[in-house]
Amino acid sequence: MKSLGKTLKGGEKELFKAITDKDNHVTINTVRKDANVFFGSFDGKGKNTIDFGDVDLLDAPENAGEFSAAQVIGHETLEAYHSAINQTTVSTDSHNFANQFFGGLEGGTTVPNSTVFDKGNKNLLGYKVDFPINGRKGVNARVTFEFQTPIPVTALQANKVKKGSQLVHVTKVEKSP
Amino acid sequence: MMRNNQNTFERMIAVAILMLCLFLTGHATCLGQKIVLNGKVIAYENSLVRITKLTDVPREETFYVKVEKVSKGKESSEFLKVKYRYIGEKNALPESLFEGKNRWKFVMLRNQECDQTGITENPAVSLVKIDEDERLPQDATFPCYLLVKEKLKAIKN
Repeated sequence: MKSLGKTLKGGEKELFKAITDKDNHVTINTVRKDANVFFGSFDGKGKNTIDFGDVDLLDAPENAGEFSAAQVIGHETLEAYHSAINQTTVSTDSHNFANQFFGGLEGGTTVPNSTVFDKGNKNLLGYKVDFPINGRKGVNARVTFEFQTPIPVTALQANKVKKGSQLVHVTKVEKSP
Repeated sequence: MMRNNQNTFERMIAVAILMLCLFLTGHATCLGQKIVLNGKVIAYENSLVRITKLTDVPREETFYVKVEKVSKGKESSEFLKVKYRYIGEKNALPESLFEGKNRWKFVMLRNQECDQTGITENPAVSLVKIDEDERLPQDATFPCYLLVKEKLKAIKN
């Protein structure tokens, strides 16, 4: 095993360390199409969750070679490993550690004119967001969101939509300029 | 001897950077200096991304504060731009911060990189005014600060 470890580099080497570490343990919970998990979530002290409904979308042909399923799994695993070692519930340091080897998504921007409304334009059904990929300058993952419960336009206009309260599903991921 | 010279040289460089920073900006608060103040949030930037649940993606809140009283540090501007970066919903700011009902005690660190002059229009972001009576000056310079969330406190009216 030791000789195998010596042949690895970068993210593979870090994953190898996590797998062979007898003192620090990682738990990865899995869900599918859970609107409360966007690809992955940090749960603290060695625990993360991965949404395979979201991750499966990354292997679509239009997304090939960009933000990959392996990248998400590597990122979430190393993030959990870092928080297991440090016994932390604060995600920032663990997120930054994982980004060194498997770049995650950065803060997104709504794609102009990407909003989709129902007939009569009374409810917002979905929209697209471009997320820059850490470590891949100029490359975004364009994610299409669909609301589980459409949002009335009147609520949007009155800014009555509470932050984080609208559950959405990721329905498509493609690369964008 | 060489070590002493190196330390002296490093101190001189640090002082020079500080002087340059003060000279260029004219602000007493520089290089991440801490400020403590009372004020109220009068506007915030809103977009569809803001209302989306993102669990492992860094996100940023941007809002504007009208300063009422500075209790530590120096700041002469009446209006400030404030940023807060976080990951995970549990680290989000309280929604009551954006409802305009309370005054707040803020502890913040100066960050000149996000200073802003005037209110610029962005098609992906709308500026939500909390209190219609409080107008943001359209062509003013807004010194920018990073919020220390752990020290944020609502002040009872």
